[in-house]
Amino acid sequence: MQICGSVREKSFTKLHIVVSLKNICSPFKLCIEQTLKSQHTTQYASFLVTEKGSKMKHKMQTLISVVVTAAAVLSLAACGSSSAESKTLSILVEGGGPAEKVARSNAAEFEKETGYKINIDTSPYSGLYDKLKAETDSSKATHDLAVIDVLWFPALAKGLSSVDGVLSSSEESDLMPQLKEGGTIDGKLLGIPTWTNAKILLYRKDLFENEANKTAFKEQYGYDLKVPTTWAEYRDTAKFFTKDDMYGTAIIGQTGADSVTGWLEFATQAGANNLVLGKGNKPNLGDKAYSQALDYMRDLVKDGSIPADYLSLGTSEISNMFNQGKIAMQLTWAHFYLSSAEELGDKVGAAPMIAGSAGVGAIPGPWYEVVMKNSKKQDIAKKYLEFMYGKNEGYMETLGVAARKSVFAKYEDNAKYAHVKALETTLAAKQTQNRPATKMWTEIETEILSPLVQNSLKGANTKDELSKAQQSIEDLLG
Amino acid sequence: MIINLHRKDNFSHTVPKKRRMLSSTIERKTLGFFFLPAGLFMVAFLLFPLLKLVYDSFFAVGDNYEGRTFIGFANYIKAFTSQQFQSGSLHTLVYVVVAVGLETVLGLVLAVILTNKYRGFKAIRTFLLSPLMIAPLVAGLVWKFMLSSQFGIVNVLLVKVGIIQSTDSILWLADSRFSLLACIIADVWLTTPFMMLMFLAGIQSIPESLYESAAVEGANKWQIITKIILPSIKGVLFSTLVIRVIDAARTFDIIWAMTQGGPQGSSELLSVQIYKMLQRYGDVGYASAMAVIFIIVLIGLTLFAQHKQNRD
Repeated sequence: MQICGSVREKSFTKLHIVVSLKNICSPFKLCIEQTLKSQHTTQYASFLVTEKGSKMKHKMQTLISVVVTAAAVLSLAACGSSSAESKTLSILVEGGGPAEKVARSNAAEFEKETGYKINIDTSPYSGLYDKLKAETDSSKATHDLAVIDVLWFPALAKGLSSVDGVLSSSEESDLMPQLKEGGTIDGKLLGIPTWTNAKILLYRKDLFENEANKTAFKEQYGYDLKVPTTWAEYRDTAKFFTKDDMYGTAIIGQTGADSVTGWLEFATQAGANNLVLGKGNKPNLGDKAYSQALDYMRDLVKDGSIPADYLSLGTSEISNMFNQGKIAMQLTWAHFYLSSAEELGDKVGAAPMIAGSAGVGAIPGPWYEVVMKNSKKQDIAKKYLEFMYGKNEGYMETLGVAARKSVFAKYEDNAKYAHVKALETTLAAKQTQNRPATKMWTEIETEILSPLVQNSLKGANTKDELSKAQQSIEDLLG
Repeated sequence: MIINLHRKDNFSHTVPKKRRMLSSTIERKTLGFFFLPAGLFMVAFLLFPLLKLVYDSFFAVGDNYEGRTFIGFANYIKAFTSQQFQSGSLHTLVYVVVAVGLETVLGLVLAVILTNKYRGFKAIRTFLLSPLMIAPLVAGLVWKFMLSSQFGIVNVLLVKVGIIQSTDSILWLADSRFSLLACIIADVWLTTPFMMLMFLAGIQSIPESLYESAAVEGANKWQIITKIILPSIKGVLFSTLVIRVIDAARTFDIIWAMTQGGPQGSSELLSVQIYKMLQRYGDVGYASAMAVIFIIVLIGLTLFAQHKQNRD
């Protein structure tokens, strides 16, 4: 730009850079054409015939070639081929998860029906959220659709399209309980449920059926050994099975969301309602149920019926231990039954979640298929949602969970899917409830509640910890 | 460029020297335009985000705020008065000092040992370099399993050697006293080969004549190390240290894979805090302020190191 002697030339150069960048998302050919056809090119051509202009000719040619090349590279890099994209729907799913498998197995059929190719992009669990968050924050949709965890709705809501009306009322009534509420933010349904899940009790059937164990248990505790349904039975059984290099059970103490969910499940069983954030968004950690839940978890620690490194254990670590025969019982997501049955065969059994004084309670973990608000293919994306609703059985086959009551009903008597009935009972329980739908939830969970659980399990005064957490949440919410 | 080629072909043998120099100046200018795309990229992807970062740090902006409000230095004050930021800074400092210190000593020892060309030294060198080929995230996961009291080989070995009673005696990742140390161990394992490689390159550039003179003077091995090797690789040592200090300060993957900063925030570095604040909690303003402080410290460190190196 410095070598240009006149204002006209400066503006020409500037204009070209702007034009080139503006066209960054149009195809290469179009970009070059627009650049060359611009009015200023004509002005520049007439300028060149002057004496001063001819001196600049070669320099400007060089400059044009550099700028046009840069524009071409940028356009090519950023755009790819638009004609191929126009008949493609791009979907982001968790890599290796059921959403990927089901999407892949149905892509060909969707293409045959509509002519639209499904481009499946994958990412690990946390990367999935990060990618979508970046897309919604920048108001740019790289993907048209995604399959997301219910927890991410509050943070991603502004970047998602409403999917009200995609399903008919009869289709909606076939959804499992609480699924519609979980995907509704400010009165708008933002996702079509793909599957719902909850924690249930997985146990070693062979140990419970063992005659020697039955006799010893009766002698020690004065009642018959059976699959526990209450806190008291669960604690006794956990203590009983902690022997011979085996722990009765395990609790999740790892930093992060897992440990908080585990604690809140005990709290809901003890009678907590409107978890953590009560009426008027005011934290309700003063309620007795929360401290009772912490005390119960501490009892399991004190009894020594859980592994000593509980503070580094998460769901997958515990599941590994169960599959390796190091744990007799675990409260875990229902879909883990399939992998445990694969490892342990018929030694593994499934039962509904245990109950505290208020009955059975768990926290559902549903996933939803969503349409990105900035996608330019809203109609076809919604058609895809409708199409996938019809393929809901695929999730049951792949993961062992689904969203539709009819699919659950079809599999509940199938011996290979022994967890389905237990899951249905748990999901239908009165105390089963969602985590609060607030944008601040992840921060509350990780920064306040996770340390609260860890400190309490390590012996800190639970009442003090709860009131400290109550104060921190109030401060955070302002 | 066309102009210059043209000129060179036809006139270079006749034009006076002065004009030829002018021609080469013009050529350089023309050449400068080839850097224009790279310059644009630098402005778009480095300078602009950096300025945006500084700009955002003065605002209450992000998911939790309605719109954008100018709040001056409030985010910076919040950072400096926050206990979490202070403990994050302390953990980062401990991590950098201990990890880089261990890596330097170990790297130096290995480099000196591997300088001697005994049988099979090439195979050993290649073997020792293998951790360099592993992604930090994968290394973190591998160490997470190795340090587990349930599955981990480390505690089993410690029991067999008789250092600890049972595999539960040291809970590397679950005990807040050991979690940061556990992450440092993984980092040392992963990065010592890099230090070794750099030092080895430095040592190999020492002229053979120096060793020969030392042998004539009757110097022992220790004297060769302290009087010849160390002073000769001072420059390499210094540059490698600066690179590693900056690299260690922004460690993220290993920590995230092994502990996610826990338990009770005992292994939380500033990089983890900034990531969580920005990506997970959407507090762009506060995360930007923390990142700006972090960048200033790192740039300060680099400038100081450069200044010191130039003086030496």
